[in-house]
Amino acid sequence: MDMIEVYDLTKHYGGFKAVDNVSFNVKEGEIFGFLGPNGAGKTTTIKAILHLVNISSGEIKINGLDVKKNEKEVKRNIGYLPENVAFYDNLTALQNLYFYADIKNASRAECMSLLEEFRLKDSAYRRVGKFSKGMIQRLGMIQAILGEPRLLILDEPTAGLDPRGVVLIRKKIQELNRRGVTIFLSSHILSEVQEICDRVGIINRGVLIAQDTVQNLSKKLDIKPKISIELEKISDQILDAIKKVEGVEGIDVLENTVDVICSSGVKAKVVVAIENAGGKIINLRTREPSLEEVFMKYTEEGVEGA
Amino acid sequence: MTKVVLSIAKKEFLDNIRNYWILGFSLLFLVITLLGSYFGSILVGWQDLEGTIETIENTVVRFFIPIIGLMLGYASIVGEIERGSMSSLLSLPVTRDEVILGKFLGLGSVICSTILIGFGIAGIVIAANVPSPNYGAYLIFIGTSMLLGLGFLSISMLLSSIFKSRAAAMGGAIFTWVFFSIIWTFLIVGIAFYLMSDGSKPNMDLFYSIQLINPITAHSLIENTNIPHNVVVSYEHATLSLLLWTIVPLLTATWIFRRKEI
Repeated sequence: MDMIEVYDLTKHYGGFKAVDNVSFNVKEGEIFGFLGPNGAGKTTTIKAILHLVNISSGEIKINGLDVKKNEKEVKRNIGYLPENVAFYDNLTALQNLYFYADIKNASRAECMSLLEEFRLKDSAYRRVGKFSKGMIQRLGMIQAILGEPRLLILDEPTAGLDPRGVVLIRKKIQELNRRGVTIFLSSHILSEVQEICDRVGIINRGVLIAQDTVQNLSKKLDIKPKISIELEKISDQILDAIKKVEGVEGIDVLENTVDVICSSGVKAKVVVAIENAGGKIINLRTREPSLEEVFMKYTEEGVEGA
Repeated sequence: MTKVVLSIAKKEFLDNIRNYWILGFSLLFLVITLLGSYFGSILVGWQDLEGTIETIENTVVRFFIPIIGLMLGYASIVGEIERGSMSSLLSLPVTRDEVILGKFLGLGSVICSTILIGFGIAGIVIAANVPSPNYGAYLIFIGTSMLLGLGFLSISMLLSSIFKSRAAAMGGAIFTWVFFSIIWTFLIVGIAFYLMSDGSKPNMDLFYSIQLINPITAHSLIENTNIPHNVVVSYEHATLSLLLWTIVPLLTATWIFRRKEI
């Protein structure tokens, strides 16, 4: 059963084609990642699904119903976190949530427990106008999941969050998914999609390049992760130790930094080997394939699996 | 349907009643009305309610009530689109018609409470100081003033649904105010001079009929007892004009908002 069906969706803004003949489906119970750089047409597609913009052509169904014809009924089952979510600044966090809860027919008690869960309890009675970007984003997430919707549409859910906030939101998404909630999320970060999604749609310049499982996506990319390790001092002894680690496919040295090509499971062993050889790590970064590399892979080989 | 509309109305009321401008206007109405009554007829002391109405008609009503209506409404739609809260609001199980209606009711209650508090308290103070106050005329005055405010709220919500930015809608609201409260007078005087240019006596009936079109002057026609009323110029028609100004722009705003891209 498909939760979202999009057929031949096209949206023009004047002469500009923001979304060009896009078709995809989101299955009930899955986490679907909508991946693309900023300005690729992700938000426009989401707005079309929610009937916030008038589509130029195409058809959209949610839970089997035409969105335009059954607006109210369809929206009863949806929670939506918009990109750059905003609230009513003069009202407190709780007053804002009560407003959403009332319209969604959700219980007001749920508001307070969610504020607590998202570490906003202390700010429940503060005016939202004084909130930081990260707090607004977390409040936005609460607003979306209020009333236990069956489908969550999240536009860049981790934007503006600190690492702790990112983990919080991710865990919540996975927890809700285990409870059967279908999740459609957009992102411009490949690793984010790879980590939590079941399937992915990749969009660039308004065109859907691919629709694939994340497993296939990773296989197709087959770009070995590279870790960059900055050391206090490099010695031959350390380099030999790294080379001896099973799974390391090559190293590259530039001044005090060693780039190690290896599968991600080997990362920890490399670190241990360096330390055993007496090296001192100053900084460690994991380099992942860029979206451009993803697009190249998919466009080179044609649109498969779509 | 009703529950959702009331939720939106309540939210709008709460969100705007905390606006210091609104409190300021309430106070301003109170003070001007009291001063108008006290100094309106300095020789005899406190002026009666009816006399007070005529004094404040040309200050509070003519200038400030339209400003409140326009101020509350011009950003009500485009402002919320620009800030981003409209997206989440419209993702809830609401129709766009319900959003407009709820906003109108909520903002309308802000206007009505401002007028009620300002004029109401002033009315009580005046009534306590004059012999045999005419409550009826004063209540009608409060009622029609609310209607005038709602008319301008309706116009500003229409502007808010037409314009693509908050700043442009504000410009539209300012122009609307300047047109109805200042340019209109020049226009009317111009027409009067034109009609008199062939040496004939001006047709006053026509003159007052035109005044029915402008909600501000229509309101004056109801309150000003010196204006001759006839078949065309009547209390009923002036009230009808105010009602139409409340309903027609609002319906047009709904029609436009249904097609609006968020």
